[in-house]
This record gives sequence, structure tokens and C-alpha cells, in this order.
Amino acid sequence: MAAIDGMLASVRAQSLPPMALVIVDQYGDLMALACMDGVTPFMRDYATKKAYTAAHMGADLADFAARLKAQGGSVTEYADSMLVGASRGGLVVRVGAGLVVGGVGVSGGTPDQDDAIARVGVATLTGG
Amino acid sequence: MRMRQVLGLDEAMLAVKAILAENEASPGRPIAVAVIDDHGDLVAFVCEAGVNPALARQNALRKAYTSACMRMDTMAFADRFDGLKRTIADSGNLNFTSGGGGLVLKNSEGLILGGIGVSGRPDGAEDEALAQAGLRALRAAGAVV
Repeated sequence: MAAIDGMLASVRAQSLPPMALVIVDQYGDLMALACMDGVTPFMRDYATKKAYTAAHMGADLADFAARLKAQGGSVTEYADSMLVGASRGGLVVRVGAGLVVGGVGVSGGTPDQDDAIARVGVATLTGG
Repeated sequence: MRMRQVLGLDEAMLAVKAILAENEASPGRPIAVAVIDDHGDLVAFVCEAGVNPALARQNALRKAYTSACMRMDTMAFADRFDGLKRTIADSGNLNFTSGGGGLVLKNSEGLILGGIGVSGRPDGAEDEALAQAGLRALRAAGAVV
């Protein structure tokens, strides 16, 4: 809840567009969600899928997308309709020696805005 | 153009926080709380640490969804279906649940704004008592009746 509150405060402080904020556990299952007024159902789904992808692949979306590109691959090869190939707004949450404990997904702003807000969420979750 | 009132994130978060505070005040098990709008879409959701993920997470979502779609609390829904000798399967929507802990949200004009769902306690009546804390907070804020 603190991570959602932190992200919401950051969106409001910077007057960013309404966003969908999602936190999932290591299995990609929903732990917390907040949809700001004006968020579309697409954004809610997209934020959820970004968080799921980061948690499942154990990587920030930028790294996952870069890996796919380097391999000449596509997300469709995983045959998982929850995986997305976006490169911003989805970050993996790790603790201790690198154990994956979840993911944060944000949608609603520009790719960089989404990414910046997701970073606020990860920082709150990991106490950094 | 038709204008209608929509449940906002402020209201949803107010309800979620009131319910989490109530659960903390009468310690039992960790809970999951969902607030859904009149379209059945999730507005706010929280799963406390230690929640049974397969059961409580899903049930909180289904209770909120059932209340919003059927326009009644899940306990009333259970009674109604019992009276009609119907099962959830008859409704054709397997996302419905008859477990206690789902409350419908209405405004002063009787318009359905959405639903609250709570799950995690060993029995539905306890989940509903926690959900009532959310409803009380929304009533105090003048958002629902």
C-alpha cells in the first residue's frame, strides 16, 4: 500500500496524466492496484501485463525487450497472452541477493513517465 | 449526452484504507480487498502479506464483482438464489460468488456505483463485517448511501 501511495503522490506532484498502477508478486499475481480517474480499461490491462511480464521474466521490460530484439525474437513465441514487449513502465522487484519477489507495472503516461513512476514504486518496495 | 456519477479512485482508496484499518484493529488473518466500479472493472485492490493467494485474492474480486453486477450484497444474493433454488452455474457467470463479504455501493439516487469485496477471514460474516467499515467510511464522506 505504501508503494501505491508513493506512486500516486508522485504522479500528482508532477501533474502527470492519470495512470494505472499495478504491483504483482513473483508469480505475476495481483497484490495491489490503483486506477486513477480517467484511466481506460486498456491502461489497466496494460499496466497489469507489464508488471506480470517483469515478474515472470525476472527483468525490467527494457532489458527483456532488448534481449528479444538481440535474439530476433518476439513475445508471441512464449505463447503467454499476458506477456508484453513494451520497453517502459514495467520493472522487476528484487530483494537481497537478487531474488525476484514481484513486479511493478505503470501505464497512462508517456513511456518515460510510466518508467519514472514505476521506479518510485520499486524504490518504496525495496526500501531504497 | 447522458451524464453519470462514477466511483473515483479517492473513494475506492478511502474504502480500502478503512477496511485495512478495521482488520488491523481486530487482528485475525490477512485479507484481500477489492473495489470495483459499476462496469465490474477494478479501481483499487490490495492483498495483505500472507493472504492465501488462490482463495482470498480471487474471492475478494468475485465478491466485489458480484455485488456490483447483481446490485445487491453477496449475502442477499445467496439468499435470493437459495429461495429460487438456483445455483451460480444457472446464472451463466462463473465469476459470481455467494460468499459473504461483498457489498453493493449506491448513491442517493439509487444508482449503482460499484462493489466492495473482502476475503481472508475464516467465515463470510467476518469478511462482511470488515467490508462494512469501508461502506461506513464512504457514507461518512457522503459518497454512497
